[in-house]
Amino acid sequence: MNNRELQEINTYKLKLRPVNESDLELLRKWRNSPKIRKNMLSQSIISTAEQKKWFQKISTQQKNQQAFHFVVEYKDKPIGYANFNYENRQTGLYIGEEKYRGTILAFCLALALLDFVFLQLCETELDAIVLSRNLAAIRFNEKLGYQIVSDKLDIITMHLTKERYLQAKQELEKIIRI
Amino acid sequence: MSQSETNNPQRLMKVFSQSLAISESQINDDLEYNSIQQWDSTAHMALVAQLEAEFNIMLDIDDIIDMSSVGKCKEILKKYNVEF
Repeated sequence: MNNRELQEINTYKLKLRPVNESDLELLRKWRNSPKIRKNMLSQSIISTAEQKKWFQKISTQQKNQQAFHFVVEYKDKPIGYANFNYENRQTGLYIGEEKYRGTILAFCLALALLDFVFLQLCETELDAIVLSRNLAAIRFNEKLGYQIVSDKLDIITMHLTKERYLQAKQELEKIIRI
Repeated sequence: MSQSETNNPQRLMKVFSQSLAISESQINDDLEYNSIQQWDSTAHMALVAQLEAEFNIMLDIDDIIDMSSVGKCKEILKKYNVEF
């Protein structure tokens, strides 16, 4: 099997599955919630029409294997979203379900996604763009091995190598034992 | 109740205070994650590491995820024979 064909990930207590059309309203609700939207680079409210357009775009990306977009499930219920984009070598993730925001589950998701990128897709480097005021995301990324490479205006660029990730993963797995 | 069990509430208070970097006066059973800026995913990770070290236990991942408040944390620790 081509590594890029992998469609579902089951690990760290989570299931990551491709986004379906039936997920769109839930994803839109999460994405438009103030707590999530305030940390996005683009903070506009997403309309139903824009969400449908986005789904068409990601469907093409997934078909052409340019990107992966996942709904994240915990105990068979959707709790968040994650993606990896080949074009900019960036991942994105959030826990949308309020009950689980601010828990260790975000690290479970990061480990599942980064294992997929580094170990299944065999990528060797990733970048992350974070708003400089989003201290929680910066701390979170640093725990995963990311390092800050530039800090311009209100945007911070972070970089992660596979080696640094594997070191960080070893530490995290002392707590997240599966 | 042993001396160490008598001290468990104080030990728990110290763990929360240190791992979330908040004062002990802010800590009560109703304190929930996400209710204060300091209790985020990274702090939750630090909290679990300190709880395991302080009480010499290994928490199940589902219990960790379920640890949504100080009160809930006490409930879960009881499963690991940490009495309050």
